[in-house]
Amino acid sequence: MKRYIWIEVKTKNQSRVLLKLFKQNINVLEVKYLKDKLQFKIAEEEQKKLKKIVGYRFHKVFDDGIFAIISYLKKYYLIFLGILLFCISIFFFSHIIVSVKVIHSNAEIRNLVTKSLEEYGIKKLTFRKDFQEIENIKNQILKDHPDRLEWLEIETNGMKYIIRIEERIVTKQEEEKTRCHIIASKSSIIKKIIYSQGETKVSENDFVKEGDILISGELKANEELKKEVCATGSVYGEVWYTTKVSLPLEYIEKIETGKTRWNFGYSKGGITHEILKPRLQNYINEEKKLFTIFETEFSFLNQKEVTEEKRKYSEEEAINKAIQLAEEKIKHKLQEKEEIIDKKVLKKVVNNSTMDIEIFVSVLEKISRQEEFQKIEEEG
Amino acid sequence: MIMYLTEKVRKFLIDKNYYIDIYEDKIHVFHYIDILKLQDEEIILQMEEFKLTIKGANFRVSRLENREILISGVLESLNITR
Repeated sequence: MKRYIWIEVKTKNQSRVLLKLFKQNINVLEVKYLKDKLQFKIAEEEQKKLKKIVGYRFHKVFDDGIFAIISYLKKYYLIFLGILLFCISIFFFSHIIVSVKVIHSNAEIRNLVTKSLEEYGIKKLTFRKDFQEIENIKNQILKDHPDRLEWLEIETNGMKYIIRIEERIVTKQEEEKTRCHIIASKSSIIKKIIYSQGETKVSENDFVKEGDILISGELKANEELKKEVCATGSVYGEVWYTTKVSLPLEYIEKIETGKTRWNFGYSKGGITHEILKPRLQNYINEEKKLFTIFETEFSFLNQKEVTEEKRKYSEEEAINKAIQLAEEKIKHKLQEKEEIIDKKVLKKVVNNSTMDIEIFVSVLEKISRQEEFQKIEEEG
Repeated sequence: MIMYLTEKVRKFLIDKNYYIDIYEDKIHVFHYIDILKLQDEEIILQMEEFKLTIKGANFRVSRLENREILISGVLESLNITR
């Protein structure tokens, strides 16, 4: 391919230059008249003839046609390479999956689905699959676990897959017990009886021991057994606990000074890290969530300056604090409809720096459980 | 390339030693021998048998090859001197 170049020369008399080119038998294919300049296109091989023209300084401005593009690319190859790499990176990062989040409350189901997804190539640091492929995988997983999964949805959200599942619940019919009593699971004073079947053997404020029958499954009339049923109901009784709390009498209280500074933070795995250097020495963070990227939560931090002051509980304060701690300890174990009825300090011992307190707590608690009994064989 | 092919065809069809084409704002002269004068208002070309004087305004050489010249500008008169 013949190579053409553009030559530029400074001149006020452009026609004279053209005449000189003509005299040197140089074929000029295109001419551009500029102010005090002349640009013309010639074949590259004719460039040497220009040296014979004295009094003018000819210089190459640029190549023509495809060669102009090639020389431009050569000159700015780093920029083009950068743009190319940038485009590749954008393509790469917009098609790669960095997180696969399976949403379900049951860990077993989550693990089952995660494993199946991995088998079909849906995992971290893989390329995003197209809609049809995802649909096929979804259907295949549902086919693989027909007894566990009811419905599954794979949602592509940027660089994340979010998988929502509906578990298939196969209701197993409970084996119906035919004969059972409701018995006391611990010693207590009966406070509340709720029953739908059976015969109550106790009344409110009765004291019962562990194993006593509370609601009987044997329905009798005039001491004669008429029917055997499975007693159903709940019995609540007053149960007593003693709990020991050891409380340090001295404690450090953080007092806000009113001085605040802002900061930004990110938290991963429940730990918040500050992005900017904190400007306060002692402070507490008040966090406001901003956004989440790749499971990292970014938040605005309102840092409040605090001063730490050593304080000492008075005897009354210490007792109240200990009762509060004991209550929290007991409440942690309580179920629905169960509550603390009363609490009392049994013993308190003050040492040098601690106070050991024994607290008596009375709790309204469900004390009943179902227990089957054997059929009484009728005598001959 | 188009111009080249056009010339070839023209040469084949019109078997002449030279020819002068006048367009609205262009003059194409083929087979001149020499450029005697090249100015914005006047161009004189030496042809084989005569001198060609082109008068006008804003003359610009668009293409200048061996024996072939393409001039653009406003043509006012064309004179042949034998």
